[in-house]
Amino acid sequence: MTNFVLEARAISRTFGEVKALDEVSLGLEPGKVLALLGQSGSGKSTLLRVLAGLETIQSGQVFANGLLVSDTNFVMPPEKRPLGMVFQDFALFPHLTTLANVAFGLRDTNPAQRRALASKWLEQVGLRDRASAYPHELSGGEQQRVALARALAPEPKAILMDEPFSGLDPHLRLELQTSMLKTLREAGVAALIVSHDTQEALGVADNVAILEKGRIVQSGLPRAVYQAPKSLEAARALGPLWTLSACANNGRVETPVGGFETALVGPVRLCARPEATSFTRKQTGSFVVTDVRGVGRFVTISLNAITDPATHITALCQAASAPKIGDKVDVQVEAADAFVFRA
Amino acid sequence: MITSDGLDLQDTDASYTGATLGYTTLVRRQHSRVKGWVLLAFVMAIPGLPVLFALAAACQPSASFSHIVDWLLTDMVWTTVKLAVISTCGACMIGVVAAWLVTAYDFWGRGLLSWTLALPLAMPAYVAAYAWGDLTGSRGFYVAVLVYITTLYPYVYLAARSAFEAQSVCALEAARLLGAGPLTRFFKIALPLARPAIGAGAALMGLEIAADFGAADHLGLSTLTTGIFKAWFSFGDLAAAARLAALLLLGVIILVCLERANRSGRVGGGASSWRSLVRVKLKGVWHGFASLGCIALLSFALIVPIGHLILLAIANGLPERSLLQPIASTAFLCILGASATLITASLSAFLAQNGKRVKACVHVASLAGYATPGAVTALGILAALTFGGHHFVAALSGPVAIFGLTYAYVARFSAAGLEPISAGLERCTRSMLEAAATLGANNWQRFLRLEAPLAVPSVFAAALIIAVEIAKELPATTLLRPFGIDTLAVRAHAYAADERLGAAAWPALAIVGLALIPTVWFSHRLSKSRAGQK
Repeated sequence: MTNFVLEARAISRTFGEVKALDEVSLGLEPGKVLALLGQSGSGKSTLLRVLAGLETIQSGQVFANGLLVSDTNFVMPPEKRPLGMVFQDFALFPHLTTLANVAFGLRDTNPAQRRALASKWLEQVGLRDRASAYPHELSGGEQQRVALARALAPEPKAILMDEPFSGLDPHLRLELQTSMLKTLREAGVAALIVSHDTQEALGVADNVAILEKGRIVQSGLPRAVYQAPKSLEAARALGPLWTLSACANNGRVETPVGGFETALVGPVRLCARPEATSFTRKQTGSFVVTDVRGVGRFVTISLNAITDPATHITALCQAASAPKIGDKVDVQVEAADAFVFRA
Repeated sequence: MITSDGLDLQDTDASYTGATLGYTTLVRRQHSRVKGWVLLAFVMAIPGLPVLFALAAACQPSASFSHIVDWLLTDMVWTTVKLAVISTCGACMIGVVAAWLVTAYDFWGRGLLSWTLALPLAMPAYVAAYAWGDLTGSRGFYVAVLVYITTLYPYVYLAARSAFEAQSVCALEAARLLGAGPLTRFFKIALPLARPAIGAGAALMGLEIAADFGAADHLGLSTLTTGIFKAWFSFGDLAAAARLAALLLLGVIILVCLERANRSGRVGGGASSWRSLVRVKLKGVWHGFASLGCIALLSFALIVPIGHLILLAIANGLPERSLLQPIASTAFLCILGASATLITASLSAFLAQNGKRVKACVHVASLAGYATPGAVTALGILAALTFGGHHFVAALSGPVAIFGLTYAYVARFSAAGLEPISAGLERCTRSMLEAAATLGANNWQRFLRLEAPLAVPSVFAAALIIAVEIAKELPATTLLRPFGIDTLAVRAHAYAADERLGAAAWPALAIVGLALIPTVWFSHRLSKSRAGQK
């Protein structure tokens, strides 16, 4: 039995007709970051709110530190749970200074002690000199760091973050992810990050779980999920992907990019990632280049099958060796990089 | 498809804050539901009861009503309607043009004028009536129109200005690219978009005119409101007064319905992409016109009447009867009335958080109290306190009268307190409450450490507005004040009625000075905060 700090066992929650959560189970390990991926409406925020005690459940159980905190007829209120939460809008208290915001959750009776602890946390997130500023005087990135410090200051066992980096500049986002990760590791806190942005989640996650229509479709190490997605949705959740339709029989599927083995029979979808798609220029090639995009070292090539213009795939290649629009190419995908799913 | 965000929003709508805030809050809400309905009924009854009593009194036999119908009624109704229509139309033209000038154009003094043009809100119509009646040396209809336009145009001005500022500049720029000149842009785009707001401002102004007693009385006009006073004080006939009050109420209801109808077909101001308007710098003659026009408006509304009253006051010297007693009475009634009103408004604001329907009920109740003319509310209370009012009573006995007067203030001014307090409570968002909960704060701590401190500034603001409204109030105070208690407004009106304007100027100026404090503050703040900002 793993020692999960926070664990959900087969929890379900419906809103009217909609199943927001359907038998969801997951666990957070100390010092590890779990990224919860999924599109808007997949139930990510609801799951987070259930774990925090802000939402009730209709079946299942939630355990914090091995203690039952939520089931069908009992919800331990959020203020009693050993959890911190960072809200999407940060929810800083506008009438309190940065320092007072961070000190809000501290229970030490001695005010001087509280102030000292709070400023220690502010220093941790690099905002010591902003202690007396009010939230409206802070930039977005600074507000995010104050929210993180505020959630961590009472030393929770686990911290829940709802889209913490959405709405921030890309470069600021990277900087914050790095500093946040460092802070979390040092504090040894388990973290759950909800995101619809793959790159953001993969940048910080030790484990990922993919939520689709209220169900967890796959979870595990990011690399493992990336290399062996169990569904089209799971594959899509972890990065760009192209797909094409085909028909499988006799254990094989034949496509314009080659033949692949599969156990499926009937209509299927073959998919692969642009970076795993290679091509060679050839006058008799079966694909034509329709577009070349990008300015960096790598560019994205759009390709259409000559026989079937509806078959559209993309590939990445070095800018120096990029083909021109109208060039004809042959496309190859390694068997290990191609995923076949039921259509 | 419903996104999770969509679901969250639905939850928020169903119950404004704390609805899903875990088990304890859920329990608390169910527990308080019964008490909540009692409270809601109480809040809604406050403006309703006096009206019911007034209507009941109207059903009593009346000795003088047939006389009033034969000789006075047509004139009263006609004068009231004419006054309201002509003054409101005039103020609409002036207010809208001034608002458009300060939002769309740049000219000398624009920054200062844009907020000082709202200051005449601090000028009670009766004070302006003393000044203009004396200055023009005449009384009557047209002086009254001048008085109403110059004191009440800020309702239209403020509504129009905020509507213009909230409009998306994109629509105006698109019109410009399509070849529309400045006049076309104003009449085809800006004005139609602002119509509902301007209508609301005009309706407020109409309500004020219908309810006005002081100015109409001083200028010798026979309106429905002055008729109520005449029926009560001259004929001693409560039933006749109540019938006139019912008629006035009917007019007010028609006005409110017209305003509602004007709102339909309302279109959004294009909040999707809001950008602030780049003001066009006016050139040459137009620059002069704009500056001088706005300055002239402000002079007519504020500078000339105040200046004249100051001159009168100095020429007269301090009135022989000390003003200490009216100042003390005003302060006493302000503190008592404002406290009672604040408590009711805070209760209403908390109640309003319990869902959309409750919120709508609470708002309708407070707005109904505000829209009911002071004379009608006061008459209803008078009827209730004199047990049907078969006998004329010159003045109610002290404590009863003070209770009645406080009740009238609560009914009339709860709306003025509800808006800012609700806004203050809404500063505390659901995610803030949830954040506080995850940080270990329980229900009670969340209220003390988060909700209360966030709402305190707006509660203070509300207290100030209500106190000033009470200090300015004349009709209800005149009808309900206990014997021997004069407020500044009552004293000023008594002096003015005796043609002792020099003496009236002192309390009148005191009221204006008091009212200017919050008006300056709010007007200044309002012009700084722009649409698209919180």
